[in-house]
Parts: sequence; structure tokens; C-alpha cells
Amino acid sequence: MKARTIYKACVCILAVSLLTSMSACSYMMDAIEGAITDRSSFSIHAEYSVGNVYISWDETDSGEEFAGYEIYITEEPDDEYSGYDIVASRYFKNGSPSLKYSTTDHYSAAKPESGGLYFYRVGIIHWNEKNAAKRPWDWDSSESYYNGNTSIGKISGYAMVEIP
Amino acid sequence: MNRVIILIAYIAAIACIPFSAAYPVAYEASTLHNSVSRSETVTNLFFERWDKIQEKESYLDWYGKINWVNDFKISTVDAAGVKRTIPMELVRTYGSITINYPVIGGYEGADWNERLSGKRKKETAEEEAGTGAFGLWRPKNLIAGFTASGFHYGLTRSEKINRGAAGSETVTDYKYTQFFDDIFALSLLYLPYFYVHGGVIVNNQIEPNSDGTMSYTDSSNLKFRYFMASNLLSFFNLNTTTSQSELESFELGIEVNKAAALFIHRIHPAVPQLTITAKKLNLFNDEPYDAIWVESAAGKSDTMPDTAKERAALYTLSFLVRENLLNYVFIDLCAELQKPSKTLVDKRTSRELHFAALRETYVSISYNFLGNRANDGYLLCLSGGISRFWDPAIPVHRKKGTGYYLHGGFGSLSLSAPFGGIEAKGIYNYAPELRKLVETADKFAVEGSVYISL
Repeated sequence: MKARTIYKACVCILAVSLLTSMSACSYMMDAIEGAITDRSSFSIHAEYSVGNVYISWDETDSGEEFAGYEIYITEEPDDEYSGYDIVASRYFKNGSPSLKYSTTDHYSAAKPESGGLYFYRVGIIHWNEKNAAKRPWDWDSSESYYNGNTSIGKISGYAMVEIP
Repeated sequence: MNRVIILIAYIAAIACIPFSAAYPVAYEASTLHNSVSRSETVTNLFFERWDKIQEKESYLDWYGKINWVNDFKISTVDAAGVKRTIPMELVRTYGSITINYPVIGGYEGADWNERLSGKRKKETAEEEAGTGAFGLWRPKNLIAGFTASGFHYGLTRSEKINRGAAGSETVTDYKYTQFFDDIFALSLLYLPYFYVHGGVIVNNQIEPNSDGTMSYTDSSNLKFRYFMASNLLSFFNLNTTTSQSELESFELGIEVNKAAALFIHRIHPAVPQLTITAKKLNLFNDEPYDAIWVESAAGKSDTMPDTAKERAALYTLSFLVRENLLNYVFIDLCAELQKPSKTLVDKRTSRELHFAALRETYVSISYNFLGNRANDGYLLCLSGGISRFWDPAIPVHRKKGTGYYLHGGFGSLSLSAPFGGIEAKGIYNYAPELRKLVETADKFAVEGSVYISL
């Protein structure tokens, strides 16, 4: 078979693949922009029950860069645009060890002191250094290394909870 | 060898394309909801990109652009039921991929660098002699191409997240309707005698979830349009866009220098290139998002049935002059005249609106710091431009003043090489941007773009 015939066949196959499988370019560019600006990409569920707020999610991340989950709450009641503060992470305050495991899919947080509407988010935290072998020996137990060398890899959408 | 490289490039390009969506209340902006206007925008971007592809004779072209407009203050009702004005960002992204295949022959050039530099084109003795029909050079190739390109518009909201000792970060959510307009087109080029592009325009609207996330599969309004763009003898352009029931836009263009070259053997390259384009666009349809009513305001409302809506077209005539001074200075000068097909009434005043004769005018100038290497395809350009734009929706969206026109400008820095390029741009009320989306009036936009062309 001539090289030109093989080439033509390959291009036809590739063109058909392109036509049938590709996401249109507007979606591809939106996905790129969303990755640049850390767009919220998965949903969570949150509900109030007897002094606690129970937060659950389905999103998992078992990659080598996974550093843990973090829980956030809006700074002010009744204001979804007030910005978010951390509620829990593997080290925050006394630490929540379960949040360091990628298999964790829920967290129970103490309710805020004042009542009102609050919004919660879950962040999936990534190590800045993706290769574990290149991190310092105590990377998995050092709070200072975690604080200085991680960033939000994925962020959830917000879930509203009414606190009595 | 060239063909092996082409094949590798195709495979590499396809490997970069996501094979499924990566990501799983109402701000009623006017132009965003006007799919006729949005279709014009995405087809114009398609033509702009194809001008570059033809200039460089690319087999594979990938282009991406992201444009952020800050300071969109949106009136909204928060979760507590309080009406508030919240700052948001308008995000516009454009992407395009084109694959060309030489059915007969192939592009010429001693090597890839020479072909992509563009210095060979129209400079061979045969081309100058015009040994083919109509005094044009004899074609040597037939190119078939496929293009997928699309434009996304949507509002997003940034939220600051305080991670305690780990610092602060910013994340974003989708807000309100997101618009996705895509073109899928097939092309056939037999240069210099003709080229034709034909394809479908897919206008899609997606409503984000209430938690700020969005799934690309949750379409709330999907429309199809069809377009055809053609060029005959290198100088005559004919472009049309149709919906499923009617012709929405019709455009005729003449590239005057190329037309004159059919009769005058050689036009000096220093003579400015003039393009004259006449266009009919069915732009006004008594829709809630329009700034004007057609014919009369009597008995009309935003809830009127489609059967009662009247339609009007906008006729335009534009003149574009382009000059290249020794590859160091590039100047574009454009003026567009306009006339509506029917009487139009301003919705704000219920009075007849007298359209200004001049819709758009702009001048841009670029200085190429690498003028001595332009023939090798290298350009480092500092560019700027000023403009004036008239539109019936400007009084609705401008922050200060009351008139129907705005002055604006842009500044940019771009670097181009034979295989690709990048550009950074700042824009404020620049006419070509306002006509894409008049809601950007009196708002500063920043834009970054990158392309790979092989």
C-alpha cells in the first residue's frame, strides 16, 4: 500500500474521530478558563442536625498530589457573597485527621455561634510538588510544610444550611 | 517527510482534545440573548482566523483566546431575599481548531519555516506572470479542511477563601445563563480561483446549577443555523447565514486591489488594500432583549407573543483600508455606514430613533520591532487603536453620559513566529469589541491569546 494511501486513510479515520468525539471548542476553552480560575466543579450536600452541620460529597481524588480535604463556611450569616473561612482541615485548630484521606466523603462540623443562613464548600487540596519523592522526608506530618506548599486543586459549589 | 510531520501533528492535536465534558436566577443582558448577533460574532471570528490560516497556508491551526471583563455590577436577590448589587466578571473564551488536507498537490515552500513565514506566497515568477486564467497564477493544489470553533460567554463570581495559616485563594462560580456558540465547518480551497466554507452554527444556552457548578449537558435552549462563506477569483466574497426558516444575514465583499489586479498586471505593494463590504443583518426582532421596537411601541410589551413581533434588518456598508509600510508599520482604517430597513423606536423613550449614518469607525496602528525579520515570519508588535461606535443599546449599558455612541481604544503586545504566537491586550470601549457585546460599554477588559499553526 502506498504511503499516500495510508496517510489518506489515517486522516479520514482521525477526522471522523474528531467529528464524533471532540467537545466543541467553546466548551474546551471554557474548561481551560475554569481550570485557570479554580471554577467550582462538583456539588456537595449539607444539613443541620442537633448542633452540628453534616457535610457530604461524592467527589474523590486518589492522585499522588492529593493532600486532603478542607471545609469552608461563609464569613457572615445571610450573606453568600461575604467570602469563606476555613472550618476544618487535617491541621486547622486541633486538626481533623479523617480529612487527610481521599476515601473520606463526609464531615460533621460544629454549628456557627450565631444563627442564620450559611454556605459551606469543600476544597480538595493538592501538594504543589506533585512528585512525592521530591518532597521533604516529613512532608506528610509537617503542618508548616502543608501550609506553605499546598493549594486548592478542586473546589465544590456551595451548599446552604439554615442554622436556628 | 513533511507528510509524516503532518500526521504526527494531527495525532498530537487530537490527543489534546477532551473527549468528554470536563465539568459536570436571571441576568437578562441584551446582546447575550441575541443569537443573531452572537452568530455574527462567532462567524466573524471564524473569518478572522481563516485569514491567518490562508496567509500562513497552515495544515493545522489551533487558537485560543480568553477575555475577562471586570466590574459587571449585577442587581440580584441573595439567598436571604435581599436585593443587592453584586460585582461579577464576564468571561469570554474563544477556541478554534482547523485541519487542512491537500487533496491535490500541497502547499509549496522549500521547508516548513519558509512556508509558514509567508514570504514565498505570491512572489514566484509564475505568480507574478499570471500564467493561469483571468491573469491569476496557475493553481497547484486543492485543499479540504475541517474547522471547529466556538465562543463562550458567561458571568462568573469570584469568592475569596481564607485557608487560615495556608493563606488565601480565589475560586469562581458560574452565574446566570452561559452561552456557547460553535461552528463546525467544512472547507474547500482551490486558490486563487475559489474557496468555500460551509457548516452549522450551534447556539446553546446552559443554566448553571444553584450551587455555582454547571454541567455541559444541561442545555436549556439549543438552536441551529447554517452558514456559507465563499470567495471567487480572490476578490469577491459572498457570505450568508440562515436559520431553519429564513436568511438572517447576507454579505457581499469586494477586495478592490485584487479585483484591480485582474486588469492591471501588477499593483505596487505599497498601495493600501481596500475592502468594501455590504451587509444585511436581521438584527431587530421585537425581542425583550432588544433596545428598540420595530415600527412602533404601541401595544407592544416584553411578553407579547412571537406572532405579533415585527422584524427589521440593518443594512451596513463598510470600508476597510490596510497598509503595510515596509513590514515595520501596519495600519488599519475602517468606517461602517448603517441604515435600518424600518422605523425603529427607542424602548426607553418610545420615540422614533434616528440612526446615525456612521455606525463604526476605528484606526489601529502596529509597530513591528522585528521588521527586518518579518519576511521570516517573526513579528513583535506594539499596537494601539482608537474608535467610535454607535448602537441603540449603548445608553442602556453605559455608566456615564447619555448618548448613543462611545469612543474607545485598545493597546496590545504580540509576538508571532512561524509556528505560533501570543498576544496580550487591554481594551476599553473599542468599537470591534463593543459590536461583539455592547454590555461591555464603559468596562475595561483584558485579553490573552495563543495560537499554534503548522
